[in-house]
Amino acid sequence: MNGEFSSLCEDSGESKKLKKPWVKALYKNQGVPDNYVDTTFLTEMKKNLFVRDYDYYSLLMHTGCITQQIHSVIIFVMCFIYLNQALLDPYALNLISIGILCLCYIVRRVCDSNAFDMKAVIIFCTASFVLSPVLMSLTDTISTDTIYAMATVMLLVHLISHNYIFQLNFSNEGVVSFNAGIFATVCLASRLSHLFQGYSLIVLSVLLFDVLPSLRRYLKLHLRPYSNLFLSMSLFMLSVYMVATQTVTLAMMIVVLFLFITFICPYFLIHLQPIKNNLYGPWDEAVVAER
Amino acid sequence: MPYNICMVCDFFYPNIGGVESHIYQLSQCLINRGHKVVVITHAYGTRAGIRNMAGQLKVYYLPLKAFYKQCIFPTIFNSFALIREVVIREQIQIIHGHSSFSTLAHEALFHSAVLGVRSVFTDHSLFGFADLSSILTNNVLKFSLNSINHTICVSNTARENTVLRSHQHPKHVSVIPNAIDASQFRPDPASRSKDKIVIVVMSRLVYRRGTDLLVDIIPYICQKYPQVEFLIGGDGDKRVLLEQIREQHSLHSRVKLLGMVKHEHVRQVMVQGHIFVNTSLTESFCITIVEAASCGLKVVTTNVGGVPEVLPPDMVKLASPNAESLAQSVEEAILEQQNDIGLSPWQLHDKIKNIYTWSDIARRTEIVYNTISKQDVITPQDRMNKFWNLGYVFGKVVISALVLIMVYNRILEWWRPATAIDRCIYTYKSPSSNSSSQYQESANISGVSNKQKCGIATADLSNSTVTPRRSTRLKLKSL
Repeated sequence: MNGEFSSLCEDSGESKKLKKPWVKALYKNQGVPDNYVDTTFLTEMKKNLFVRDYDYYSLLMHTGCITQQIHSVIIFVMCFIYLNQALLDPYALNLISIGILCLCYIVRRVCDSNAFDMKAVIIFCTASFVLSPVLMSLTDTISTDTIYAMATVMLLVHLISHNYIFQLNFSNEGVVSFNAGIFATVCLASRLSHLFQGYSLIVLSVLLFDVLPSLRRYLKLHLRPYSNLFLSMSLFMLSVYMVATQTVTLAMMIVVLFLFITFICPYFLIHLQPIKNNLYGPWDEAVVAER
Repeated sequence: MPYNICMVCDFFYPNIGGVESHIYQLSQCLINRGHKVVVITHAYGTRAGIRNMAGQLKVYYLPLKAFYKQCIFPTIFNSFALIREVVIREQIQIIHGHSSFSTLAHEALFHSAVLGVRSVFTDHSLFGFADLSSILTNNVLKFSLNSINHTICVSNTARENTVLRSHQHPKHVSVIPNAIDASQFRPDPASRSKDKIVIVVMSRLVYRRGTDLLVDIIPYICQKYPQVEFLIGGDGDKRVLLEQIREQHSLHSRVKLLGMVKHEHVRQVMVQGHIFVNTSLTESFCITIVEAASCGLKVVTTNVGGVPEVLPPDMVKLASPNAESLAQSVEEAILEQQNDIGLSPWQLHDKIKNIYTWSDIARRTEIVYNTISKQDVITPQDRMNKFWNLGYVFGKVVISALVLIMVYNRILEWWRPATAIDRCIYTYKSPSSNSSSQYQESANISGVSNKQKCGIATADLSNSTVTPRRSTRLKLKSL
């Protein structure tokens, strides 16, 4: 009997007076009123069946999944700002992006024979190169403020819907997230003055929003969390440095956000666990095993 | 003492379904027991205004538009003036709402305190606690059920569920099952195939009714037992799956898909079969297995929700909700059928006939009415006290709605005073002497001295250790 409901049962006197013990059945008259509460009331109820015990250290390692993607988005936006102010050479950016893409490919190829398809990436890059002139005049009629607002919303959608679950045999989900990222890229790229600038931004977005997350997922599963820690720190430092060249205040805020997500949020998660109150019982819908 | 009862639900004739027929049958039996019953529902197409159904059952089709799945749009205020008018005109003493999906029922229960009438609610469904829609419904239910006199659930499992969802005291929740009209579901062994074993399935073909399980077992059973055929009634989005496996395993001649079967034709389909299979994944009572057993079929069902409480162990085979267990139970049933083990169709029917009857349900509902009519009417002040503690923010919102309704009531009092509303003239039926065993018993109970009769009702809800009702039963037996 669950503690809070034990006081609700009939006095044990009544159940003793029954000749046979009360059973949970509707087909026979058991000689008790319809609102009789037996001692078995709610005994089949189970609480918090699937609660996991978290430990702080491993949670701390796992926060990398979230912070890395946030930093990727920050780096992407900073690259756009650099390109827009002509502080960054688009050819250099493109070379770096393609270099990292190839590196990712080699790493995956070495570790895992049936890795992601380089062909798709090449087709995507070529197609976007061919189509990038269209970008230049695509959003001429839309005001720049609207474009920035749309890009902000889409990058937030990307972060919210991004798949942070690191699992083996992971089918290519997170379509919404990737599309939102590409949407934001197209918006921002159309605001750049030079054709090749737009193209380099698109290649960068493919790298940051699709290839890098899937590589991280792979590394995390096979090379233990330390690789993840290294990636986290390098992305963190890069993004903070890039922001700091523009505004130091924002860079400080990003550091605070990073510390909050990495050190304080796991603490919250652990300390909110006891409040969990999930009820399970015979009323739950049965789950059919996947065929 | 006869009561003036008002059944409120969004779902009623011309809609057809479990809740609809429950309200209709219960109302008819209560009228037979000498009460006055009116039904309030919303307008269905051109069917608006007052209609009379068989046996002096008056139905008010309120001019409110159905908004989603035959429920009205929840405004609380929209229905108040209309329900107030009906309650005064028909001199209603008890408002009885049905189904937790019905917005109209919840609104009527909400109005009951302002109108000064007692209220009962029958919950027909089970809810989990995990998904968004059940969290929302549970919140509404918490406010709805905590401010009424009594709740009725259709099975013990449903009752546990309702108590958890609505934070009520279980003493204020009774278990009164559903029933069937057994005379409508008589077996007909002659219409069965002699050399074949026909397995009947009758359900909506949707995920919640476990069509996926059915799809898993059909090829296996058909392959192993060449004399077995399937007869499947119902429609839904999972019908495609059944058609697919029929195609894959060339079972066109052995798996018949009938599509939607009208309620009046259900018996005709059922009596053709030997075994009935129910694959539901969740069910608070499951009236179909009772209908099938009454038609004389061996019942195989998944063991979910309130299903294991419904039929005695010798009439049903319970399987876990997975394909292996279900296939095994179906095989057992087939073997029993081949070797002619177990109860005969007429034995099954005779047992069911005495277990679930509407007159018995009406008698037990009447006990609930007797009990609450001795309780105080819940005043708006009592309600506010309860609501205050129930929700930190939402509780206050509901209280403000209640205050607005009270102000609205005052305005209506001035604009259309209760004295200016015509009272309906009604001739109460004398409790009918149609002799079924339940009626005999109820007649006996009313023959017991008045003092004892009061004792029956009060003991139902008090925590006293002695139950006079039980002693009355014993006395009846000795008579």
